[in-house]
Amino acid sequence: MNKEWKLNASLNRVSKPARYIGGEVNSTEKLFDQTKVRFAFSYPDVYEIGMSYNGTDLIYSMINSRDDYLCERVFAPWIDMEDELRKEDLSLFSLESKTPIKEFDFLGFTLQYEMSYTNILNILDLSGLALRSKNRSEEDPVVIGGGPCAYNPEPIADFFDMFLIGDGEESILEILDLYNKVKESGGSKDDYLKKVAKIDGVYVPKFYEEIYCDSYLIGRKKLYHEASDKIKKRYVKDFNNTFYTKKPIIPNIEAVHDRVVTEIFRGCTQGCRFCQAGILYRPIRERSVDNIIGQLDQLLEESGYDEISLSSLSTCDFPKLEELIKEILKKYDDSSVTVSLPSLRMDSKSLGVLKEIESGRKGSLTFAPEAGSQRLRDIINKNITDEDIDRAINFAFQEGYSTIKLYFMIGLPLENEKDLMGIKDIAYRIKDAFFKQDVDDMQGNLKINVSASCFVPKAFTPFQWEGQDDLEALYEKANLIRASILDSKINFSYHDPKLSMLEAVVARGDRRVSYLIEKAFLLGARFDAWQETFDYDLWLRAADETSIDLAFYANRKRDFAEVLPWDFIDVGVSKKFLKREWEKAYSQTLSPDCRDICHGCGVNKNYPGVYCP
Amino acid sequence: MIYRGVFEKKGYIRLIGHLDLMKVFQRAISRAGFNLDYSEGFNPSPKLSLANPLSLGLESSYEFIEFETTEDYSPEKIKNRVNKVLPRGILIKELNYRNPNSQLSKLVYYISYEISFPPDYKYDEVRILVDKLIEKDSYPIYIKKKVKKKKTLDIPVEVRKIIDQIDLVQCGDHVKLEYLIKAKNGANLRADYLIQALSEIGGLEMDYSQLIIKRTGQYGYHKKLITSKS
Repeated sequence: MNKEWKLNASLNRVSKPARYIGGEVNSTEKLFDQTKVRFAFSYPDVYEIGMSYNGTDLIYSMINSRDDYLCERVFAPWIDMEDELRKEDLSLFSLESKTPIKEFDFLGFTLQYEMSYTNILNILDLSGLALRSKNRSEEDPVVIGGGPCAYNPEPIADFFDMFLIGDGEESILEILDLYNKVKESGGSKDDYLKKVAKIDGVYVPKFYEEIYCDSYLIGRKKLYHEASDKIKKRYVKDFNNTFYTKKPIIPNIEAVHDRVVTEIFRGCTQGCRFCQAGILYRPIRERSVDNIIGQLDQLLEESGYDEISLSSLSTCDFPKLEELIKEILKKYDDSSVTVSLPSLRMDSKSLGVLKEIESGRKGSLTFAPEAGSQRLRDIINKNITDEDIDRAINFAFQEGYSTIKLYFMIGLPLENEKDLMGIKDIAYRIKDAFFKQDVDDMQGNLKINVSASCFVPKAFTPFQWEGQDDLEALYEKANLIRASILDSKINFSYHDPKLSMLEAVVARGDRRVSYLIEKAFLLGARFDAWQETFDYDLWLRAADETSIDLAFYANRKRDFAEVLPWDFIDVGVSKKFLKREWEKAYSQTLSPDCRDICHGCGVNKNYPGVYCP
Repeated sequence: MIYRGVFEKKGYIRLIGHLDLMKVFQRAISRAGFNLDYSEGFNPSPKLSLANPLSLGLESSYEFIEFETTEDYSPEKIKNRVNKVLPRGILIKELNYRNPNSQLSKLVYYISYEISFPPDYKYDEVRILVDKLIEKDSYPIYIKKKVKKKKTLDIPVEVRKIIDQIDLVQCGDHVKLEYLIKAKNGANLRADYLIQALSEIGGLEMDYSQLIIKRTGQYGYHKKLITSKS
């Protein structure tokens, strides 16, 4: 049987075969051989997850906007499809033209979460590519990574040829143009890497080496004298004049969200101390209301969707939100367009906005207090008071919402038992508020879902020096909360501490951690973020066989003088600022929204934003 | 206005299921600028249906779609504009105002299929199986069905009687089985049951997953194709 018959047979045998077929509306139909630079874009999870990521369409349409460049997609094949590919000796292929990935000029991964890394290795392997870049050949694609996890690239540095730090749309065409030029003049991959390393935001790992003393990282060494000492992130300065997707690909099967997404601003001024995104995406860059409406118009027309999502790190902080919502409701009054907002603040303004957009049926309302007590919320700088919570809850019940979802973290720095019990208190307070209503006013059956994730210290945050609680402590805390919740209306669940511990290892790992990831992959680790496929024992074995001390990376408190694996990246925010915020955390001092007061994070020096002085 | 259309589903798009296919049409019609009518009630759904739903994985050159719009549009206009915004492999072949009181479920008497075998299957060895099946008046296969808790029963499924015509042809480098089934009142023969029957009758193991199944026509009492105007 030839390749096509074999592929058809495999597709007949796997679940959700539509994940691998392409041919969607607005997907490219360019011919592979008629283009000069071919880029395979990968979100290393299944199709439905990858197609729900806003960046997929952005990078895809940006590259394809150039006539002689081609971007096609490849996602992580599910377990059954991986079996088929290996069994039938079929190499991993792009969705659009079914071209083997190995034939592309670039293979780009978006690095959205650490536990997707074994999928990345699987995609390399199934494409017939050596895992480590030093073992790949001249003809193999340039393997490039971008996205939030690229801010600590070291644990996967050995697998990549280059990383793009910062907003991808700023530099992606620049690096492809350079590749085109070098290729046309007959240059080698190494020539290209040497030249591309000069572009701001580009990091080529093979030009550097880490230096260790015993277990500790003590420095870095340049192996190529012209490489930069520091890698400065790239950012889109004028958010009103930047590329945006006009024709989103319409997935053939149900993606996680079937709706139009538009970014209304990038960055965040809340300054929550555990949050990495709040630092990475500084400073704030906003779109104007007209600009947003213009985009929505085009996107709704091109997609046929009837739901809009206004995306950002903290949508309720958008100063013109009320105006924007009013414009949207006015414009799409006659059609059945609905608006959904991601996470809500609990202040009166947000609730007012929510009232405007809510439709007949009330689903659930989600809040993220993150910590159970004001004390701990002040420590992590999460600006929510008990009054805010009460106000939000009363609003919820008045409007007819009967399912409330609450997100918390356990294992936060300086956390004590009272803070944990605070989680239970909030849940019970909500229950009481519901039943305090007059029987006539009570709507629906009350359901309170409390979910606790385990705190993972991240690079470039004030808590980057903290140690994660060990597993015993995390389980103890989760069980403490669970044992204290005895009401059938309140459901408590928590994320797997074992998975969170591994995330903590990789999130602040150095290059040596690549051996752990590689070994875990070789032992069979896949889709680690999926409950059904995560195998902790496999990772333990991998750690044992590679002599990686998990506690060293996850639980150890770092010394302030220590060299951190990501110090060589300039994120715009100074280390001094992070340390100051850490000190404020320990003295329970708040840092209010920096739209109002500047706390001197330093980003305005090289990356001025809308609200910076 | 109520419309009926005939469309085809060819190539890799055969791998999306019935429900996803309905959503694809719904969005395409909306994207093309036409307003679908919705049902009343708490959870309004668009008035759109695909008759005789095709199992996931099957191609078809002859499927029916019916939908209702809030305004009167020219069927030609709808067909042309919607075809421009459908994914690769789906194409509306004809579209017309539906004949009032015409019910597809009552019109369909026969459905034709073809099964393509990969080149590994030789004409002669498959021919023997087909001939053996044709000879019989009746040929049941047995399917395991879960009855209660842990009990499974072998349920007989009649394969021969529902076939009106069947033939094997050589098509380039591979063979194709063409057959017509009696589909009155929603009767159907699953392709995998037919393959199981052929496998059993001649003792030749056939791997169903290697085959490409295609529905090729839907016919009325006189074995004439049912159209969008029927």
